[in-house]
Amino acid sequence: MSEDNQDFVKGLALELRRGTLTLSLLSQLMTPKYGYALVESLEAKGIPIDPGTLYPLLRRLEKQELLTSEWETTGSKPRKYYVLSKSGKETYAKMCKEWAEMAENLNRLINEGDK
Amino acid sequence: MESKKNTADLTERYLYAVTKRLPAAQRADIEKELRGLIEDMVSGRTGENEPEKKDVEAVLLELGKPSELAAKYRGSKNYLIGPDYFGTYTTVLKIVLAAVAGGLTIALIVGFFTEDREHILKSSINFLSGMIPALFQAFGWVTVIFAIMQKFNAKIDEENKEWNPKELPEVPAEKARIKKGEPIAGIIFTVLVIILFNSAPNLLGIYNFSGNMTFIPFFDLTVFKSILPLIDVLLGLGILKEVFRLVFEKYNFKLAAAVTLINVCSVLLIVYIFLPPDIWNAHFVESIRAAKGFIPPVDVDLDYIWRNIPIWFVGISLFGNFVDTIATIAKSIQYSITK
Repeated sequence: MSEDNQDFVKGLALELRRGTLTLSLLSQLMTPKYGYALVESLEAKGIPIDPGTLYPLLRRLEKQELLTSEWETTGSKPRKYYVLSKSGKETYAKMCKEWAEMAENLNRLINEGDK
Repeated sequence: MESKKNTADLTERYLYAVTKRLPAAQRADIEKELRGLIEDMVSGRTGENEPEKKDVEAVLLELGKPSELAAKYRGSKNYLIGPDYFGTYTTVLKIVLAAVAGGLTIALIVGFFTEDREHILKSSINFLSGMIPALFQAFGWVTVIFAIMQKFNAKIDEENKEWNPKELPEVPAEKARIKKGEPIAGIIFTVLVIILFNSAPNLLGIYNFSGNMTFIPFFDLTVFKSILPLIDVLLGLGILKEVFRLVFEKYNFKLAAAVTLINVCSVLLIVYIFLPPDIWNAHFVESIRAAKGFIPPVDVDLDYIWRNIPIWFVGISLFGNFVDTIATIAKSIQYSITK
């Protein structure tokens, strides 16, 4: 039973993280970065993200015009660099505000209990 | 050198497995990007050392199943038959498979009574060997019909992304609802007809039980067999119509449009198949006259009747289709106005 519970908690935590993934990603893209560099830097900052999730997500955000991309072919390997577009920066600012409100409200809920 | 080739080969195979599932326009770019990622991930594991096969394998395992990665890139779920249709699909499938199995069994039992004793074993074997492909065919056709509807409907859903509670369909008036029994009976009947036409077209005719049992078929069996695929299409359209009735569950304009289209196609097929005299047995009247114990009726011109049978047959079919179309349209109008 407790092992099942462990899995369940893991699942819920994963869901929470999934919701904040886009915001985490946008926060790292003020300057151009390529996918694997993002995987590494996010992991180093305690937000591990599976490359199999990150790469498709980058493309989706590009399609939604929050990111722009460019192939960098001068280095040893060709790499695709992504960076926030103008509308991406606006969206990021709004999302930060949303997050701050949500975190504040949720913390209040947790701290005050159901009083 | 050998191992380097191996590891590169593994990567290529993975990339191919992913990109073949993606839209052609995106393939090259995603492939290039993923190749870079895999190289980065591998060298992240091995550092400066030459990568081994197991390193590449570990990286590919981390990236996950090619089909799942491709699905993430596509971002949409691909259904052959999605949850909207699955319930109706299984219902129709059960009915059709049961009707096919039942129909073939009846055909076998009829065979027991009408055939010579020595043929019974042969026909039993034919029955068993015919049953499996028949069931697979039925399964295939039902699935194809629903897959097409799924594809069609999925597109409509994408077009109307906005959703408005005002657009929720009215609960259909009691009369506008199509009771399931009628289309189900229609499907069963049509499946039985398909089985009869395909397995024993020679049974369609007149029996003469006096003395030696003789039998006179309505159709010219050679022509009938050559045109049988078209007859199957015609009957298949009939099943499709009943499936639409099951899916829509009530009379509305979409159903009316579908029924009208199907009926128009059916009418064209009926005219094409049954109006030319070729398909009808040219020796029918002759055979009747020659039949033992036949007393020719006075005042009736059998030749005249038989010559006109194609026109009457087609005429009655056209009338039936016409009535069905008008009735469906009328009910759709009536129930969409009165609600």
